[in-house]
Amino acid sequence: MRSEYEVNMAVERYADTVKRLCMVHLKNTADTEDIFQTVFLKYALSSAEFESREHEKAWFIRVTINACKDLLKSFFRSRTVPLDELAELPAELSDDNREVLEAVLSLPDKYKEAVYLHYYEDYTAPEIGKILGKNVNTVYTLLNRARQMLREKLGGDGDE
Amino acid sequence: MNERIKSSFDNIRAEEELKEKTSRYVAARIEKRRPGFMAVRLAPMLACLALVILVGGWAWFSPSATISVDINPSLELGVNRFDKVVQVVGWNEDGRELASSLDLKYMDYDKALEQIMGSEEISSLLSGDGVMTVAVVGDNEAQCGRLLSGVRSCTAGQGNAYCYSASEEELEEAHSLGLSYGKYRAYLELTQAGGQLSPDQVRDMSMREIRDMIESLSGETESGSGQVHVPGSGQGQGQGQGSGQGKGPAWARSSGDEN
Repeated sequence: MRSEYEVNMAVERYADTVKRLCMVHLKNTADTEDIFQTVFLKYALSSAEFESREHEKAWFIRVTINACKDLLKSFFRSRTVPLDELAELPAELSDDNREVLEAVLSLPDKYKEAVYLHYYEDYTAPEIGKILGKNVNTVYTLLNRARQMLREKLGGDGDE
Repeated sequence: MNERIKSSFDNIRAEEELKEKTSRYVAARIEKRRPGFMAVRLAPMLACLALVILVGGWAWFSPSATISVDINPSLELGVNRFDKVVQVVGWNEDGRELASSLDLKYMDYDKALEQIMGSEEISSLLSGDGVMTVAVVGDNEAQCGRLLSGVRSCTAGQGNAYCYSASEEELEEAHSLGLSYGKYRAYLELTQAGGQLSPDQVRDMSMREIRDMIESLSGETESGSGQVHVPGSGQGQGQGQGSGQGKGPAWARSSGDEN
């Protein structure tokens, strides 16, 4: 079990990451709060030793994604929450930011998380495969497909 | 597109409120799980329990009254405030033998007394010429009264049994001389009547012998009065025992005076 201090430090370090992952997967703030509690409590009770900050961050990403999926899987939720609704975005975003986020969030789940991990967190395909428990080739395919969809939505120059 | 995605996500941040709420929640949860937490909550309960057990144990195991039974075997029963025997002490050789041959602990005092009187040795002594005294000693008047009347009904069928009560101080004096209370009482009587015996000698004499000795010593001063004078409520049922001399036991007569 970890101390309160350790937990607070982890909240400072990873709250933004957890928040972004929640936005990628979830639609409302109440669920986000749930996930925060689940993830950081799990961290507090876990005795996992981390070799490095990267290792720790990957742990948080994996735990958050799993927690989100567990939440979405629950039978009750699948019956009560509308499926095709976008997450609430912060009001103070610029138009461009809003356009990009809406484009990303409108992708199907499996593309969203790959896009987030690759474009924002700078993970390579093999790393993403490890975190998500997916075949590397599957990750390549997901990323390619996502890139195409985003290009269609956002227009623009394409990328590497 | 990379840069656009990066800068878009960069603008997504966890609100301070959300962070604080999470920290508070987790802190509260881990506090509950800390091993010390349960100990802190349980400690007062355990302390109360220990106190109850201690007080109860003390109330149960400490004798609040003593019943001294003397014939020749001298035996004292420590009786707790629930009228159960919690202590059995033999004050001479025969008494110790008797104590070890009977299992009287945790019995009701009247059952214990019945068992003593029913034992082979005692019943043969009683049916012979033996004299039995039963003294109830204690500072709790209510309990002593209760015990005394119980003891009396136990010994009611015995012509040679005498019951009386006394105080704790007298018991201590008796013990300091190494005598059971009944013997001590008889010893005092004997000394008063002019007897020259030491407590050590009295210890192993039978009550009958002591009584006879007292009687023979005080016989000259006593006129046959035909009945026993019984002063005080603590007085025993000194029966005149129809001995033709018309005289009750002298030691039984003076025995109620402390009440």
